Amino acid sequence: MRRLGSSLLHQLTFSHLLVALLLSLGLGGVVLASVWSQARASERRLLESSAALAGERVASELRRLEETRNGLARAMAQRRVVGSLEDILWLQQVLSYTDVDRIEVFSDLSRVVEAYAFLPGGSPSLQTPWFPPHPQVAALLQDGKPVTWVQWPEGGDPSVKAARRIAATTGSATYVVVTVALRPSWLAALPPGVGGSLLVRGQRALSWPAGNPGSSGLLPRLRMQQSIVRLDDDTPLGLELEASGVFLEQALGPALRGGALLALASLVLALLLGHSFARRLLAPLEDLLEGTAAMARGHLTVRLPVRRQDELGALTREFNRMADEIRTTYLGVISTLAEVVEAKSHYTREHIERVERLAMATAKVLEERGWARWSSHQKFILSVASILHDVGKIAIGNDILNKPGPLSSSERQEILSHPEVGGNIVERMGKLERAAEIIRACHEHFDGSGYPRGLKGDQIPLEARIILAVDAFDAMTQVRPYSQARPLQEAIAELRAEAGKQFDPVVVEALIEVVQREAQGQPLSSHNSSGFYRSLSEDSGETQITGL
Amino acid sequence: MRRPLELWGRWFGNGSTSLVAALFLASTLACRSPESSASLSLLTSLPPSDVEVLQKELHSVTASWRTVSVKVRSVPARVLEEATGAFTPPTESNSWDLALVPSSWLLRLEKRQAILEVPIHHVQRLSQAVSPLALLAANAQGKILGYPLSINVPVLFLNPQFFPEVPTSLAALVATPLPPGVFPLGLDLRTPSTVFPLLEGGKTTQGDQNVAAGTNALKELLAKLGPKARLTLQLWTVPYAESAQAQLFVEGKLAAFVGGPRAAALMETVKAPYLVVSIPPWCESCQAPKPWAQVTVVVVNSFCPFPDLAEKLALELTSPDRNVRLNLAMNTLPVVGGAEESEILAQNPFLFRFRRALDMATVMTLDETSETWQQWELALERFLADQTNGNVPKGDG
Repeated sequence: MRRLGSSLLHQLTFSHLLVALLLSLGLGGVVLASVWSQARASERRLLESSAALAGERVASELRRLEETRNGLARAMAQRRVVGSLEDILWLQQVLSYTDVDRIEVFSDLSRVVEAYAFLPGGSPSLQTPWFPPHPQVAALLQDGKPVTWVQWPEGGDPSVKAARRIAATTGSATYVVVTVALRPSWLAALPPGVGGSLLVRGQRALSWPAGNPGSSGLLPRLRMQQSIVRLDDDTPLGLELEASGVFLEQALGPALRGGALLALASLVLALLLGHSFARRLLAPLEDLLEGTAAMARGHLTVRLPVRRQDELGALTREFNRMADEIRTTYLGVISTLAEVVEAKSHYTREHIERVERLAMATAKVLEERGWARWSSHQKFILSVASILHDVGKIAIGNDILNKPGPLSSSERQEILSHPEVGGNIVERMGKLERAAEIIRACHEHFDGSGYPRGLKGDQIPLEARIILAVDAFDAMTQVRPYSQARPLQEAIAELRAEAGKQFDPVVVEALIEVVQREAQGQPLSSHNSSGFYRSLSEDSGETQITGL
Repeated sequence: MRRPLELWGRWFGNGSTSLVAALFLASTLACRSPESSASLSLLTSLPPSDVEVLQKELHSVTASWRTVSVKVRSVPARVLEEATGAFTPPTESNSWDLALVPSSWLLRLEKRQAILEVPIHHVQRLSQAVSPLALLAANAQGKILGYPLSINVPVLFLNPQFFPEVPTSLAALVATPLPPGVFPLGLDLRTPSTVFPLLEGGKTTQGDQNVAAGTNALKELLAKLGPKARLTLQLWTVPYAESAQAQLFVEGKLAAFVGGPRAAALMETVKAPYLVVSIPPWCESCQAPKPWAQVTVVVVNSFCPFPDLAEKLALELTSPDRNVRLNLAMNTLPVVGGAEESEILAQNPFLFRFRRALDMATVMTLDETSETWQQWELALERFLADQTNGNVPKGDG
């Protein structure tokens, strides 16, 4: 029973937890989505500002390259370059002053002299293989305009080149070409947390890592592209930037921690409240389980409290109605048996009523004095036993049962067997084994002189000792076929005289208190002591299942 | 207290203990404070291409740390010298946490208490990771003051087309007949690592003073060059002479020059024929100079707010894989020794030629502020002034 209750309890508690978890997740999801959206917006703004910075840096590098070209062109206008060692050393000096990687001087289509530093300037891929490289560039140079273009040979390093015609000092056209390799430092203006690539004709020519701490790389990164400039050879330069996600993680971190804390608090609260609610919800079910089990054990007086007005309350009421019907059916059988006994002797009917009433009253006095304590079921058993204590007389012939004169030996033997017969009859009714046991001992004496088994003292059930004393008292105070009714005081004296012999002295005193109260007009008012036999057709009222 | 616990136990049973512990642990984890981040600045005078290589390598180191960012700043050598040697605490403009400096600066920086000594547990790791020569270079007055990063050792590059046999002295080298328009020798007279071995090799007797012997030997060499002397001297004193000489060498206009691994990398890239030998003495009777190795080390600023992180970062750069990758990208020699070095040399034959020079090299501890170097600069300026005034010695040819 407990296992079933615990299982339902756990299931209900778990359902509360699940609901709380789902609610927390839902609420957390909304909060995270909001934080995500705001952080993404911040990252987008960061990317936009970074793109502006990086674009300006790239444009600045291009301007420096063009300024170097222009300055060199002006200087070379005053110098006759023929490709000598002095020219090379002079260009090397220029290299040492500037950031360019390679300087080349062309006369018409031929390279006159060049100077380059260590790698990457010394990379063969940075050399200008054809000059001018494009007709478009050639046309601009022909017009005396400076040009800037990108050279990116297959498998080589990308570079930006700037050329200009040197003011003619001789007949031939002379051009200076300065080259700078595309370096990641061009994107060094990118702030921590933003990485990116320089795009040349849509291809990544160089990259700059985000270089920020704290990014786990687990979250998807925000990217954006932006064009910077279109060079003279129609080559577009652009940027592709990527936020590392560190700001997103920094924003999500506290939200996640707060959300986790809130979810934990919700779960703990759901656990406590859910468990409490589940216990309250399951209390009627547990009552029903225990009541059903009590009914199965023969506790016919079970009646459950109706705690709720919902479906469980209705179920409890239906259980009580079912228990009443079972009890009524049972008592009907008992009543029938009692009526059979009544039918065999006209004076026995009142006797049964009195015996039951006095037995219940005596039991109540014993409870009040602390000698015994009965549950409602035990009182019910006492009541049944007192009603049916002479049911065995069914098996005795009417001629013997109502014989006015003394009984013969065989007739006496038949009379002595009626407790055992009565016990057997009641036992076969089921769930009344205790009542059968009491009925069998109803004629056993306290000192062991009774029948049919000669039990004595505590070997005799207390209920049997009560019924014996009450039965004897009623026999003394009522008219019988073979005797006259005796006065109350005489009967009491007789009871006391037989206390410790035939009767239990404690039971005798309790019985005497009952009859004396009745004689004084103060009968015990307890329902259970007022005669169960007479109230068989009445509703016995609610009986708590506790103390069964 | 007992009552609530009893209630709790009655409600939830013994399994609740683990549940409570799990909830407590989860809440603790959820409420832990975020880690703080540190930002480090590394100052160097490397060229832009090398700065990018170094920056990428540092990014790869700190990527796994998650709380540290490092930014490499490149400044002229003179600015680097001033920034690292400053007596005052760093300001925002010249602040640095780590710096790449020649090992010859270590003693000076130590005297000014500008740098931190390498912790002993790092020294133990360094002694296992780097070559003894590199560790020796990082040593000053018995203290290890920096983390070796790279080695540069000057050697003599020869064009095998012009020199069927290796010249035994610089005098023999310049005397070798060459085609018209080809200059015999390139030197960088303004770089200590080139000049010091030459000064050592210029001595003919133990009594010779370095500078005086070198100046005399220089005069003799120029005298042998004859008409080419003026241009050759211009070649030897041009800024970044090694770069110019390497280009002329590649183009077949220079027969020999003194350079380092960066020049060799250029030769390999443009596939120019070359031969590398140790720098010979000035003359046949002069003593053979020892190659001088210049080691670049990473130092940690004594005012660095995150010294542990900075030292850890510097140590990471000496790990074999990282140091090799970094130096190969920068065209310098790695400082790692042992099996790793052998593997590198096997994969890069041109570096193997430097290994032989490195075997005999001594660490260059004299720096540009030394008395010897100042004397040499003074002598060189006088010599150049004489040359300008037409006092260049007449050669034989």
